[in-house]
Amino acid sequence: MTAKKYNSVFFYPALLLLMLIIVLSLSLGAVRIPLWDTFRAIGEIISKKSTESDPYIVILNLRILRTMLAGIVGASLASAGAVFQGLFRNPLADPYIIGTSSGSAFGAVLAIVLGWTVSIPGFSAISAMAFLGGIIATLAVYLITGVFGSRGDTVTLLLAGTALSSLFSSLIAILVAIKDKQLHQAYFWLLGSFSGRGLGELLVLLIPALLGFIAALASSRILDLFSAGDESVIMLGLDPGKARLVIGAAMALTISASVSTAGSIGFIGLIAPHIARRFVGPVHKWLIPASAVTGAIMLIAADLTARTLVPPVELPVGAVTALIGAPYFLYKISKHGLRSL
Amino acid sequence: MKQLPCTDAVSMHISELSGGYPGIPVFHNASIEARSGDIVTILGPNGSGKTTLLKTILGLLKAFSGTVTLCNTNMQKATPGERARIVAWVPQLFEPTWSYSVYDIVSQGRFIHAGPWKQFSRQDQEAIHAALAAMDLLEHAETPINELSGGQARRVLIARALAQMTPIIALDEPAAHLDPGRQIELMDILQNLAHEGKTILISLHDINLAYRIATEAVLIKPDGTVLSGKPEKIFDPHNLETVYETEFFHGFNEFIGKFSLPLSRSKDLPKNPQNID
Repeated sequence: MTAKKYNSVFFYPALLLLMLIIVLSLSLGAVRIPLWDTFRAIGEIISKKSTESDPYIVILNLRILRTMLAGIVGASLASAGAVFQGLFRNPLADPYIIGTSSGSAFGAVLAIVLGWTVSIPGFSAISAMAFLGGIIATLAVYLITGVFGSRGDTVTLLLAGTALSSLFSSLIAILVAIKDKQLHQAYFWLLGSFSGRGLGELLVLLIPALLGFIAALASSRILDLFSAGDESVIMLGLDPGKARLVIGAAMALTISASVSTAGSIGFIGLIAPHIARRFVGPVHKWLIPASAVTGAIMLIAADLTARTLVPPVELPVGAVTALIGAPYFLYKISKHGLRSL
Repeated sequence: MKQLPCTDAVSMHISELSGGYPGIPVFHNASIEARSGDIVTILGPNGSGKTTLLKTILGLLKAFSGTVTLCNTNMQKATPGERARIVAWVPQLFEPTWSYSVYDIVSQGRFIHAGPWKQFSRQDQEAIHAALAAMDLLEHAETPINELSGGQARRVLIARALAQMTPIIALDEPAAHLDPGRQIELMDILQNLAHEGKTILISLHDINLAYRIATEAVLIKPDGTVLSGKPEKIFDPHNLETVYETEFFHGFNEFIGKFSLPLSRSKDLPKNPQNID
């Protein structure tokens, strides 16, 4: 891995790929819309000439929302993953593995069980509870791995994250079992899905996702410092404990917004930064946007796969990301070992 | 750019400092005083606490008792931001998780000046450039750090410390794993920095390197007692023998000055006068 292959080599092809996958995501599905009709209908929607009578437009409006959701959630999870990997100086850190995602999912489920379902654009009680759950899970991992004092080593981090995830997952399963009627099926929260999600979710997601992305970008120079080790961070002029706390909280915000939209989806936050790092190097001001684009591509592609692989059944999107992500990850580890990630 | 806060005062005043890890005292009663232009060498056998003493002086470890005042600032109470303006740190181990370029690492030294968001100013860029040039790294600026040799990597860290533009630089065994030529080169670099007015605090393994550069000497005995003072007084044959539990041949050469070569382990071997000739 070289340090600087920067920018144009990555971003132009990646954005092109993103466009392509968006078009595919709009055109493919239970009803296949020919490419030409897809473009024509998008043109009509943009120019507001659309007529409700056109069946393609109805489908497209739904698919556009869903594709946007998948793209934003993918970008959020991936940039949060890049941030966590930097903060913990650990290539295995990601929102799913360290427990933030399952903490958020538990918070969301609890809100539903308690009947707290108020929602206005940019805010919903469910996402607030998800945020709380995400913060608590992240704090717990911080405390367990002792990051306040020293560094989070890989093994402790993995064990703490896995244990916390199992704990929250079982709590979710218990709540779902007790209050089945109020909740989507358990797998929605545990594996994630974009099925039936739309404008309401998009409005709630948009602001925290944007804030989280800005926070991630704003942290990039700090994250570069973290690579040197906590003692060096202090001697370079930054309090690592405080920085972890503030940046971790900002990431919990964006992750919880993603989770209350689509459940907890694994592997995007883990793998997208690794792919991005191969192209743009480790410097976070490039790595974070590159991870976001990669994550968006990956999750739109995963959602497309989830709804077209075995029609008319829709698979949970998290099952697709794990199906592809887990083997990729194991392959990477077996080939290069942990250090090379 | 902010002026160096303490160029002509007593830059380092350490008084009866004791420290270690919770429940494990490591060193006692270190009293060290140094001015701008001084090179303070810390010698001591393996495990005697050179690194612990350094980290306590920097405020990375809590002192059990005593005070550390660097540039009129109490290091035990200073924030990371305050400390980073006073002293730059060249750690012994450096294993960045990802392969940043030499330029990226050296530019970390500007964090304290540029902060987390501002674009690097011209002064920042000039400081980085000057630091790279001083360490002979300009042609390696874009090289990933993990492709460098041990000696080059060490110079990258010193360049980072230079870019930080602090009146004091602390180095933890920077000569370890360097070949003799690189060691001498490094000592010359440090002496130049001292001539420019910096105070250098450095731990070393090699007594002869310390002879070469020390203007203030610190010796840590195996029991943690800290001796300190002028080199002539501290590098006394008797002191060295007790501290290292080793017999030395002490010589003098008109070109290289004083030198000491280890002869035998005084603890393990019975004293044999023939060995000393």
